[in-house]
Amino acid sequence: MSKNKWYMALLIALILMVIFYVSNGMLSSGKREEYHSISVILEDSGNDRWNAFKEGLDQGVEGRKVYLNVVSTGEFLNLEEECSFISRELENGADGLIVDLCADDVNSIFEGMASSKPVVLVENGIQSEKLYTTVTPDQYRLGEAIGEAVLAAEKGTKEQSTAEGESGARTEEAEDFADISVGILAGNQEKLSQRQRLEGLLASLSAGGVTADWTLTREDKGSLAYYYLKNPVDVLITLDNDETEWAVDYLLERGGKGFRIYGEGRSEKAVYYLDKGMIRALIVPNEFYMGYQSVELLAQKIKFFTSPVENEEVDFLTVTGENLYDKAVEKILFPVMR
Amino acid sequence: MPKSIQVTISLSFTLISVCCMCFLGVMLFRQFSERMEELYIDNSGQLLNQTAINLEDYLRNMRRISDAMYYSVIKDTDLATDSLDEEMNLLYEANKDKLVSIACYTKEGELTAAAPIATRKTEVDVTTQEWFVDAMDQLENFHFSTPHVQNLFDDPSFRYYWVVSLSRTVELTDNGGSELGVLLVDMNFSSIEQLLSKANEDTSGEYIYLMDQGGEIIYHPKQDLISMGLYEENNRTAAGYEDETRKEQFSGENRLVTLKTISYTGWKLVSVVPEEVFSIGLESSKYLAILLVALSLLAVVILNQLVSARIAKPLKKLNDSVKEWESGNLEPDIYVGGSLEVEHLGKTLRSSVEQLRQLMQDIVVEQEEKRKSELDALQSQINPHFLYNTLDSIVWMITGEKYDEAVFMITQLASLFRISLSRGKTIIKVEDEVRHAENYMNIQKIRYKNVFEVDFQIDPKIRQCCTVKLILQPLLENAIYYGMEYMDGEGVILVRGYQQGEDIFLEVRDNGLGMPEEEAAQLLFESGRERKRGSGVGLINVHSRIKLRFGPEYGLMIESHPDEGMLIRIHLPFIPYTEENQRLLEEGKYPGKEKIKKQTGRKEREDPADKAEEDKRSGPDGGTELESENEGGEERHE
Repeated sequence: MSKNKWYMALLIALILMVIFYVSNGMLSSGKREEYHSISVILEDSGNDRWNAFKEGLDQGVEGRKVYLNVVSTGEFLNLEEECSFISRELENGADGLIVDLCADDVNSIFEGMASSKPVVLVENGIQSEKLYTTVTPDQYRLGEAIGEAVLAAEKGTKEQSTAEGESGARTEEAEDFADISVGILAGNQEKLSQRQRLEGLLASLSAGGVTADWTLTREDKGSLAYYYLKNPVDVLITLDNDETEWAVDYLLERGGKGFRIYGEGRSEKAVYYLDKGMIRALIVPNEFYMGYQSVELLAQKIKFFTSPVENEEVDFLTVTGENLYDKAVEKILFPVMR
Repeated sequence: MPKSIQVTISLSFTLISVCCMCFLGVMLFRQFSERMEELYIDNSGQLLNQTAINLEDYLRNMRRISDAMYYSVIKDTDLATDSLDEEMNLLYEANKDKLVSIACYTKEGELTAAAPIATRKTEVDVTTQEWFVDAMDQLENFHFSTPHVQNLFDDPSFRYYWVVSLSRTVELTDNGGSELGVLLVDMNFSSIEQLLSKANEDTSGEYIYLMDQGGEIIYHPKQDLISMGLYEENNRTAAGYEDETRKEQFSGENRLVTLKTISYTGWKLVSVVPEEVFSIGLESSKYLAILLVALSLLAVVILNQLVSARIAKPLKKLNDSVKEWESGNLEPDIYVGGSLEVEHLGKTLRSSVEQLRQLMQDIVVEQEEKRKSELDALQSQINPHFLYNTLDSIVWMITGEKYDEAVFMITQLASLFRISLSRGKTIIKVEDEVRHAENYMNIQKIRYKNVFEVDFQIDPKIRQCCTVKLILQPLLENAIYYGMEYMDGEGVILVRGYQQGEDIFLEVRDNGLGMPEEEAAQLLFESGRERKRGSGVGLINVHSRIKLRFGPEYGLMIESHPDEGMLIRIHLPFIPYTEENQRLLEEGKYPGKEKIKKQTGRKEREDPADKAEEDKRSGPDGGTELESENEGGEERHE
């Protein structure tokens, strides 16, 4: 074949390649794009406290070709029960999981499951968290913040009472919190996050010279009245939303008198009673951000399974009756897109 | 480097086509993308206008509610005697899907009336709230706040509402006197959000957002993300834009931004169309344009090839014919076909080739005739002298009563003439040519009184081959005249005939005086020859005739040195003597070596029978067919 014929054949081959490429492009542009399925397993997923988190999830999903499935759950008895939900979701074809683990004694079942698909742990870390991507506040720091809020508010209370009783004279006694009795509702202490919060709280209180009179875990929650009646306290500190609501309910039972509540929470009920003054201060993690970031990181991990582990820290706010309606707080406490 | 016609046509057509197609494709795509952009601008403009109309309609309704409450209820009510609650509730109930609450406050911030009836938050001081301050600052106007969470009433269901507050100052009548108050209509922000969310549905990247005069965002599809710092919007800059469409670059992205100011509120509705939306929309169009261009290009290239081949192929065939002619084929098959012009060219060329061939043939015939004439002239030259001398010798023999010698002489002379005639043939057997030479030499020996010896050594294998007649006799004559005349009985002439490969050679060697090599070489050229005596012209004649018959590689070769004699070698092809070969050679058509080879092989295989047949024809005396024919011819002469 002459050189010219070669050139002509080359040109025709080139045109045919272009036609093939373009046809392929046209066909694939008409195809439905591949979507990934993300399952979210939260303890008591219907609870109001997850509203902001779910808003964050929804915003995170937008424009990401992801189907989101928030699994309907109640309160988990133990990690095995939660793992059964995880297993079912994986069997149903979930491409990734966002999980709030109810305990940190992670057994081989969870690790086996988590190794097959990308997983993002939210709210609660685990001991071997360096192996997992996590999106969670610094729980120790959060516990400290609760303690600091308690001390700050109690200092204000003392100053006020001093002002009322001794014509505003400020004395050294105002700094002394030794006479304040404190009870703690520590929540689920099987969770690392709760233990860290408690540690942070105790350290913070201890720095202010305050010691807890009693500490109740989730299992002991039903005995709150018993403990309180046996050993009444001025301040009840709660380390998660459920405990805060529980404390509020008990305070309401007692006609709103007896103790002051400080704690972590973000449900509308908790915010309402903060607004009503029954809760003195709430530490509110930015759960909208937590939801958004968890979807973003999981989407990345689904796309690039071997991407490095990331530990995203979520900030939190200390909200009191005074700053509840500040614009910055409003936006976090009451996400607009409902 | 010159290109073929097909390449030139095809290349130029293809280049032009590619350029045109690409230009067309680009223009088509540009036109399409511009049209798409216009369409997007139109669509987003329409959507923006429609949304603005809906929003204005909604806000107008809110103002109407406020007006109705003020002008129909508050102005007619003396708070000392009547309450605003009933009418306010009615108004609220009629519009509760859009409203969160209606409330009226005194200028001190005391609640006068509210709907729905709810527990007021006692600890809240409304006079510090933005909507109250704005209303009291500008008494005559409506004031629309930015969205905020309502903080006025206690809702035991733990609900908090995002509202946009519409506030205005009102004149409250209390016990006949009037005082200032503030009427608040808290619009449910979700109504505005729904209205704008609807506009943002079914869009592929473009969106609408709402901001106040200062650029504070009221609604944005990613409002929460913006407030968390997870997304950015160019709202502060856009607040300074006029109501128009403009291009802007924000966060490394080009986008089209259209603004529309909402009347009365001063809010600005902004439509944003990122450039990537165009590109997504244009992607399929781009593919389509490329596909169309590529397909057209393919069709054009193939068509170019076909057309150029159709134009160039006849010319190529014609050119091939000419090349074949140039390569030496004198009877080429000239192509006649293709377009009218090429066909005409072919016909003309064919006719020219035919004419040329005819001319060459004429020249060959003419040359042959000329050679024949020369031969005849030569024979005419020889014969009288030779015949006179021979006859004179015979007379003297008879006079000297040497009858036997006279008879021998006459017999030889008769044989000589018989072979010379050969019934007009030019091609005879080698055998006959040798016999002719022998006859001639026999006569000459007698005439020259045996002053030289002649020896014939002819390979029997070549005796039945073809040769041009009368080629040996001139050579012998040459040997006698140049070599033997002065030898006094010591002269020897050796005639050899042998086969070498596919050729045969006939040699005439004498031991005469010889001549210098250069002079000997000149003997074969007409111009260099110096005619002396006898038949010197014969060597050129013989050389030319052999070349003419058998080709330029055949003919005479002369080797000579002074006092060493001379060797003249006749080079002929080995062509068996058959009727067909003889006829072809007579017609000037040399059969070719391959054909001769085949014939030789066949001849060798058929040899025994042929030989027997030949023997039968030759008769007991061993005479050849030619002899018989010649004898017949002689009879005819008589």
